[in-house]
Amino acid sequence: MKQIMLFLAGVSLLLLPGCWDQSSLRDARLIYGVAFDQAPQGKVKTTIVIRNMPSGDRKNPSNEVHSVIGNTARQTRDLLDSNISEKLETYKVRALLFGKEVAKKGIYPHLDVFYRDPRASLNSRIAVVDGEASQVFYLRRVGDTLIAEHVDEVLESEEDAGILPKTNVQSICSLLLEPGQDFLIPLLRKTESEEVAAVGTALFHGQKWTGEFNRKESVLYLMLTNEIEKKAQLTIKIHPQHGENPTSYITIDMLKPRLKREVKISPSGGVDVIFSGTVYAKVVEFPENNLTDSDRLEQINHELSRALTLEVKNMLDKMQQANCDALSIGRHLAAFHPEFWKKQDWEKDYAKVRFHPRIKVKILETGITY
Amino acid sequence: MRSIFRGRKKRKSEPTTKVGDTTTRVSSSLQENIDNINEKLCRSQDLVFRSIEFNGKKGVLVFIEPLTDQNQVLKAIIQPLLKVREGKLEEVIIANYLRQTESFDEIIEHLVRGDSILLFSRSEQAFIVGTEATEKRNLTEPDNEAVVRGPHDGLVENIKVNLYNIRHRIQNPNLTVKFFRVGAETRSKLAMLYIRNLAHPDLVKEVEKRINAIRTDTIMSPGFVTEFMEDCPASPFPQVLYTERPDRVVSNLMEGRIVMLGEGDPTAVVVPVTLFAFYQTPDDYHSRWMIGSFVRFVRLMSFLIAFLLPSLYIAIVEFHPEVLPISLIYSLKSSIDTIPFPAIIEALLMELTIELIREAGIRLPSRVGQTIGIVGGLVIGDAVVRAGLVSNTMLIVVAITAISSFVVPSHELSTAIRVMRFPLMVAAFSFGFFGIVVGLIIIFMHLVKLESFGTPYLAPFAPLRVKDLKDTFIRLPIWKLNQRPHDPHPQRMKQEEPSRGWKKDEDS
Repeated sequence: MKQIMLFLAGVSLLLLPGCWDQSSLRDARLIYGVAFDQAPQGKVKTTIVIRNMPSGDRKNPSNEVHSVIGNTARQTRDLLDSNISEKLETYKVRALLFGKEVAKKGIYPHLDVFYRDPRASLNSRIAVVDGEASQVFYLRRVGDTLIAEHVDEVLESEEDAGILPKTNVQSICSLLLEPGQDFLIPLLRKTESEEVAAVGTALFHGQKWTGEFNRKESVLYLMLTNEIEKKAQLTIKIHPQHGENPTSYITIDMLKPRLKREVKISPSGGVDVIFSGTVYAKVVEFPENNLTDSDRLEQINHELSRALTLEVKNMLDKMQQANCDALSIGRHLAAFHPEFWKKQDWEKDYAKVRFHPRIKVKILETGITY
Repeated sequence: MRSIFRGRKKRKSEPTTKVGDTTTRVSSSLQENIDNINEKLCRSQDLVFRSIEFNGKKGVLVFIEPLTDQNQVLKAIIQPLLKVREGKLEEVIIANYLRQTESFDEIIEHLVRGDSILLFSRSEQAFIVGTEATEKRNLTEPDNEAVVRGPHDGLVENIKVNLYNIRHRIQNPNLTVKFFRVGAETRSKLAMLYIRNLAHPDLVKEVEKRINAIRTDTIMSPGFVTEFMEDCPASPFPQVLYTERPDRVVSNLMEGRIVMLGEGDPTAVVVPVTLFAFYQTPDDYHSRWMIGSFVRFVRLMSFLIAFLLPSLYIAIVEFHPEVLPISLIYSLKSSIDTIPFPAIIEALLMELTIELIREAGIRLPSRVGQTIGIVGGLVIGDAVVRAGLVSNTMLIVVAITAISSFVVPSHELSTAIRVMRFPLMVAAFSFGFFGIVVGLIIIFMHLVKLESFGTPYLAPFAPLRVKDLKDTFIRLPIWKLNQRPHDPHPQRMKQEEPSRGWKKDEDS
């Protein structure tokens, strides 16, 4: 008798939990994209894109876009959940967009909910929209592609091309919270022809937007941080004397450039950062032609090096103006020169850092010419 | 020496009792003997009495008609007796087996085996002549253990033929055969085979002890014997290996294992075995070793698939959809969105349907069997999805699971796996991945504890013996397998000396 009771108690213990932590895929509404915008009176406007997949043979997915205004990101999600059938799930968010206003005020408050939820997708791509982020989602469709997927794919292809940094919820987490380290987020813009284009990157300091790079500067930044995985394309004006003419330009593929960075503290207390190294390149377009001559090639190498170094210098200046330490100089100082770092007021002293790019370009391949 | 059978409860074995202990003697009166035989055999009407005369004495030939070889009776007894009217009976009768006896019980015992009895008036001696009929079918390849390449004969229902088949393959005086009579009423013949200088003596003793301990009226098949003998009757996993292939029997004998054959059943019982023995087939050894290894590996993977796939699917759909990649999650969602049941009901529905189709397929005569294929495969498979009762993906999961469970060469293990996945599915539905992990832990605890005649069931994996792994997950070339597997504790480990020495000579 006692054994039977024990057995029954065991079985009921197994069954009593009754799937309490179940979260069935059947009852889930999957959010594909989320956008945060500034609303009046310090409120936040959250826009979500839900992907619907009709069952049966005709598989044409459709998007639903919803917006709501609330005090915090979490509250807006709860408000949205009450409007929408089934349960909203964020574990497959692919694109997370911030409007310009929100980005200027600080993005951490809206990301907090993602970091606290164990099911939240940490690999969703982040981007900033120049303008209102919800406007991008209300495009609903670009060509034949649904909007959130389009945004995700645009970002992905630009990452692969070595133009935008790989940014997702997880990768910016530590950068957001750590002093002496800043980050860049891809910048999107809704064009006049109702499309979405990746126009460059937004520079962040702390958690606020402080400046922006165009696509070329963004490539140069990735070159300095050795983040280009395969190759990246760069068009440089090497013959300004030709004026606005195709022959004044050269386009090269930088083949997995790897540069050396050196941080030095001068006796006077200034910080010198030296970038040195050789970028191996492949010429993909050179309207002027005549690359067969080795002397001429040498000359172009030289001109290219000079032009590239100049462009890098300009990019670095812009970064310093935005007070964005995306190259993690402060982090380096804190790690290797802690005494020096303690004396620094990085908010101001970052602008005093002297950058010395010394980059050589060497053309390895000239392409097929006869 | 440390006993390999430690920690088992000792059970006293007693010899089986014999039928009818009252030993009577053959009477000198012929009529009395005939009456007695009739009485003992319940006046069975297939009993034949034929009058004969020899040396001027009246006699009678007794046999049970269906059990005896009529030709043999005619040629060995009747014809010589009619031709040679007198002399010594031993010189007249032409038979392999001829014995004189005075014991009446012995007469009865031989009669029911199919021998003929000669009785003469005014004589207390009876002659037993071996005229046993052997009806046997052809040595065809067993349907459930067919191989692509290799011997295509199989064991049959006749123990003598089976012994011939095995002895023919192992022409070695050390092959020992011991007969047992089990079942108080059926008196079924059971043969135990082992190689004397390979099988561990403790193992032989243990098996003998367990056979002798059987006290039952009926033994129908080796399945009965197994259930009396196995270590853990509460386990779903088979602890002996059934096979109908003589080559498999032989290879197991040569590994130092013990084989039991029963009269009237083509199944040989091999003890002791490990889990991995159920995944070996003769085909592995007849193909090249790389291909053999690949197939073996695929088969072992099928074990995991058959075991885990439905529960993993349930856990993912009901608890952890976030582990799915984005492109998969939408197609999965669209296929399950309209299904009215939770995944577990869906899975149980389909699994039970497949079990039904399988069972019906076995029971139905083969001509009607095709109908089941059409009804089961097309109608249920397609219609159930169209009706929106089961999702497409669940159908795929169930189908893959079913196919993987049929890959197991042993029917017993395949059934065990099919049954074991149901508790896992329930665990997955109640607790997700956590439930699966707990379920697997319990199953592995059981497997590690399980023993088959003193051999750990998961050997050589637990306890680990790296040398024996050569023939488990993969099959290395035969010349690498120069030691016998360790699990049956054979008396001699070495089974192969370097046979490819010529290679070195050639190279140098």
